Amino acid sequence: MASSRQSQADRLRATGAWLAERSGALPVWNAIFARKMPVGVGIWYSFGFSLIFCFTLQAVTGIFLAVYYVPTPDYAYASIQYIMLEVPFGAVVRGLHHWGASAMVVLTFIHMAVAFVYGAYKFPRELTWMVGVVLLVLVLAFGFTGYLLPWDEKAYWATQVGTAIPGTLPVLGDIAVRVMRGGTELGALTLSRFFSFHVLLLPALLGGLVLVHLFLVVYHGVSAPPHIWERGIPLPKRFFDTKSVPAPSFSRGQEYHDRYAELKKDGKTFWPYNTFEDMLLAVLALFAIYGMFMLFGVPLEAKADPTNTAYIPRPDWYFLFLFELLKYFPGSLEWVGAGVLPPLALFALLFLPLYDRSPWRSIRRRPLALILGILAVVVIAFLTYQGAIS
Amino acid sequence: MRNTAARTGDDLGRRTLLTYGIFAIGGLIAAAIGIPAIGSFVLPTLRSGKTNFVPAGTTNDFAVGQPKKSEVTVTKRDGWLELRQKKSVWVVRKSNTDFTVFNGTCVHLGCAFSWQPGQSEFICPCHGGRYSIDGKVLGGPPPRPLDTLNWRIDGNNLLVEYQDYRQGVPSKEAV
Repeated sequence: MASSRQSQADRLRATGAWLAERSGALPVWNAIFARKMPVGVGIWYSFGFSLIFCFTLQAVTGIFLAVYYVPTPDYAYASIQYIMLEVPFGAVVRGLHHWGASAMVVLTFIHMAVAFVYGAYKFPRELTWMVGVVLLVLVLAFGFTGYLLPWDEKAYWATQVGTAIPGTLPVLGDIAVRVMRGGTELGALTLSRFFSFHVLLLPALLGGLVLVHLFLVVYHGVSAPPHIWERGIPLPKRFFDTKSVPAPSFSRGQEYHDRYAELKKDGKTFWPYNTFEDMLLAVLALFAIYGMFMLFGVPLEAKADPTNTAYIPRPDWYFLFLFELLKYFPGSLEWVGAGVLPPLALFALLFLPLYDRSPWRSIRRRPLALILGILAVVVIAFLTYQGAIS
Repeated sequence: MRNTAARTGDDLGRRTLLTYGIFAIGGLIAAAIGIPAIGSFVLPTLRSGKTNFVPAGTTNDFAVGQPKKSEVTVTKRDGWLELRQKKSVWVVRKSNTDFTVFNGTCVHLGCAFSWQPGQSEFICPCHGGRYSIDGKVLGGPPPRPLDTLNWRIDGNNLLVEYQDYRQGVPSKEAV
């Protein structure tokens, strides 16, 4: 008996070894999971995984919503009502999808803030950051195309305003609005193209770029925490003191790679240490999404009524700052607030690693970055708050 | 260092030609798929709809000097749907025979505005656009006065030629 169990175990092991060899999984495992992380990598590095988790959640819940949803103005709202009222667990699936979208925006913001504060966009990870900024745009595009789909009042009117904004641009404005709406007015053609982008184009783009992003993360390794990276160099006594110590010699080039290898030597492997933290944060994100659903449910307003004069449109919370920004521009300068400032801010974010050439990574030695970062957060928070209460 | 010593001039010429060929074929494939795909996505959006006069009520519905909202029913083709859509217009009767009819959407970004008798102004709730009774901008972001619509009287009926205009730009452009 014991020997037959023994031989069974042997056979199992042999099958495993065969699979590992024939599939080529072993080198992949070694490159991704068995790779060493630099010393000091902790929970702040886990937001990227939470985002992958949320994207997976959106994909899974989205697939099940698409089983019932019909993207045409005469049935879209009814199909959402059917999901909410008649499909068992339908409200839960839609609730997870709805709050999962907000979670993605929040987690993207935190993930970027961590990379910003840690100077993780610096050599050699400039491209990783730039791909990340494009991913941010895709996440927002998911939000924008997604909230039209229920075809309720909020969906209709927020998209009415949102698709009119590019129309304020000189020259290309008119055609931009037409292409977004599929014509001059919001209707069946708008809904179907938003749906197509939301469920086909954007997932393909996002999925592909996430793979590129992940490849770069594994290829360059995650950045070391600044306090460990610049270990041994005394911290300035006060903020904004960048002169008291000479710049480190290892901010780029071969010196960088030597130091990084040294920090990795003492570090732990990704599996199971960081993987555990990743899972922990992912499940916390899921609890938060469930929590929001249980506390606030999932909104569905009355069916879209293009003649409703009483409805005051509000975009989803993560677009409130853009909505509010428009109020600061008089009519003739609308296109500045709509078509110039947001793209400029986005380009500033995109090309950050190319113009921020400071050799320091610790935020205490990057006063300009700190001030601009805080300023950006304060402005966005202020506009969002104003938009929420107005 | 790449080893190019073994390549003869003929071989290099052939490689260059093949490289051009690869890009040429790639470009051909991209155009053959891209032109119909993007064309189908963009070109249908450039068409304009037709307009005709539709009833907005009888002349007696409107009192001189008191703006009143009226809903007109417009038959529109929305993609594959033939829709009878309700659209809002605001009618201002200036005298027994003279009217002004405004398209009911704010010229800023297309929200629905309404007449506030207390303030004697048209107010748009979205971004705080304000217009006078004759459609002039009194405040807020609207870049041009309210859009007026063509109208005519047929017997006792007020007929309106409903038309939408491009939003957010200083000039009144039909869409």
